[in-house]
Amino acid sequence: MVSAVNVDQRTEKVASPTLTPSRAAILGLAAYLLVYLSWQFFHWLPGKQQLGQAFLIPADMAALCATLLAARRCEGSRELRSFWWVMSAAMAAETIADIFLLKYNIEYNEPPFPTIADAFFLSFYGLLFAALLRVPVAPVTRAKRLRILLDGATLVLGGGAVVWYFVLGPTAQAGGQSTLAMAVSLAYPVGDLILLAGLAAVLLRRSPPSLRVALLLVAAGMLASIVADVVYGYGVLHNTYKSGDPIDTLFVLEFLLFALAAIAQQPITSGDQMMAVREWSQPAPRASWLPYLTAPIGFGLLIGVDWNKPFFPELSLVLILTMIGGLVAARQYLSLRDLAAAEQARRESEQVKDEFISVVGHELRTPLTSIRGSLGLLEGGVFGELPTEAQSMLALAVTNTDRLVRLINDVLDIERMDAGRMDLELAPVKASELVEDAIQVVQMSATQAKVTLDIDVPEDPTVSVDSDRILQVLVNLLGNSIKFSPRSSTVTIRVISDDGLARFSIKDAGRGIPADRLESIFERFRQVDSSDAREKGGSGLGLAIARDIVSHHGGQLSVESEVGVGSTFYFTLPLASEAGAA
Amino acid sequence: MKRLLLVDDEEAIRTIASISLERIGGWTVVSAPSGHAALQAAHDDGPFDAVLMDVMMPGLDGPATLRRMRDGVLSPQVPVIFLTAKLGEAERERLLSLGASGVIAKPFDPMALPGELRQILEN
Repeated sequence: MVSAVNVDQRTEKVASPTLTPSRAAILGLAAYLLVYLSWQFFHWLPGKQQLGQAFLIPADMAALCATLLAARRCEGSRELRSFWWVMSAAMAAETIADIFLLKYNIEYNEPPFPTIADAFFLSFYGLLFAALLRVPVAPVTRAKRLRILLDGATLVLGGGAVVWYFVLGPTAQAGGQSTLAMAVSLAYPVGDLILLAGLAAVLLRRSPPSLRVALLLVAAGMLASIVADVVYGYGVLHNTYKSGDPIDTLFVLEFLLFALAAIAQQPITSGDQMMAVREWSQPAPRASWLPYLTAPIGFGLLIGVDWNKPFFPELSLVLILTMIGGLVAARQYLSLRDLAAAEQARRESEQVKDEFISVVGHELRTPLTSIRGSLGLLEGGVFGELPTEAQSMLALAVTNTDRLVRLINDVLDIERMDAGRMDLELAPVKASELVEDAIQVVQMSATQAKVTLDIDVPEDPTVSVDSDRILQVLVNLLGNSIKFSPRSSTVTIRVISDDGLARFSIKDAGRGIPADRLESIFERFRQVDSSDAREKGGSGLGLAIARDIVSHHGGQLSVESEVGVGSTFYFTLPLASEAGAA
Repeated sequence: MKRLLLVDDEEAIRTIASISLERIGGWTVVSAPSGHAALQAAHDDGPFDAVLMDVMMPGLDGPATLRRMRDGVLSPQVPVIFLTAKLGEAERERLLSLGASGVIAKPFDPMALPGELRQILEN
């Protein structure tokens, strides 16, 4: 029965997603905006100036109430609660300012400017900024903080210059306004810019997810405010602004958005789950140039300066651009310094890795050498004839020890080449000597595999190479060919000189390599068939090493193959010069 | 029986080389774990017919030990053969120029070691 009741309750919840308090509040805000807009269009109540100003106050108070409630909802997080408290203080300042302005609008037909109302309006900026400083964000390094400050300063300076140039400068020059009035009118859009820069910094610093929506809505409100403040500043200096003008819509919208932001705040009861993200999110590279957009805009203005209009002395523009240029230079320096530090760190970690591989490789090789030596003595019968079974076990141990030694040597070779530490000892040597030395190494396995080795060196060019390394390449390629050759077939080694190069080719009649694998066989740990690693005992590094060695000599290693017919590996080596050959 | 002084800092290598040289090569082997021990052995247990010595050893390395040996305890006629893990043409030349009679690469095949040694000594 109990479960039935539960089900009932759940269905009831799904069936009626009706009016939660926050939904009601959102609907209320929307309704208020509609009422306000309809009044703006139709002025269905007289007293435009006073009523228009009065309309701002409920929006302010809605934001005030919503932020207070948000602060109460966030009792689980001291930082968030503090953020919303300061936000509500900012909303209170705005409410008081608008009440004062209403008073002036009732008392005067032309309200004075600036007044005590402007002091409250401007304190709103200070409080909002203080609220932003309370947003818990990921800790950043000093260099990053400095970069954020530079970006913010560039944005504010550049944006301020644009606002001044287009809106406030001309007005200030034309009308005989007091310095205080000019300063206050400029303070609004500049304050907006500072707040926007601060908001951008907070949003980039990956604020707590629970606050993200709220911060985005606050940012939207700030955008509305910027436009409104520019028009407002222009209007008051021109004495054309009156409360109740259409531009007031943006102020109403601004505070409704702030209220919405507070409503969007989810309750935070206890624990720090919602605050968990403290990681700095790197701004996307395509966004990082945005603050510097102000520089080209500034220079664009400089080009457009009309010398006949004295309202904007070109000297001040040059001054602003110089400052922006300085900021850009400082930012560039910081970025490059960070980049260099990151590159340095990367190189160091690479070096540590190389050293690690090298040390581990050598440490592995030492005991392995002893194991192989002991096995060799046992296998050689130094301590007497072993029982047949013991011999086969020993053979198994020897084969696999050899394989391990080869693998370690190959890994060390690869590491040496990656670290650029493969020093070649170049000396002139006849191709036939190299081939004969290689044949000597692989002859035994060829005989065991019943593969005939055919040498064809008609010209016998002299090459300038590190003999040990080229011997390694030849042994590697010959070993591969022998491994994959059918019984009683032939592997042909051919060397010709052609166009200043010695061309080596090793041709087998093996099973061939599928066309789509021809390139990947040169990659590390790639074998045509993964079972080859076990059956044929290769490390999967041989061809990669061979290609590296050949290319270190300035040559090229390639392969041609046909499945079922056979493969031919080619490589080129530089010929020794006449003097070297002599 | 010919006497050989074997110098290597690694015990396993000394054991393997001793067995190989004694049982296959028919040498009498005296082994020393360091350059200093080798100088002592050359002084106390000499004379030797040959010295087989590792290049890289902590403390006195192979070449330094060779120089000190030539200063008194070892007659100039006694051939010294080096064992080295990093055998390149340049390394071989360098070791020969220091007065070595030959160089054998490490890791060596213990079954082939006596043969390699004999080949060097016969030249």
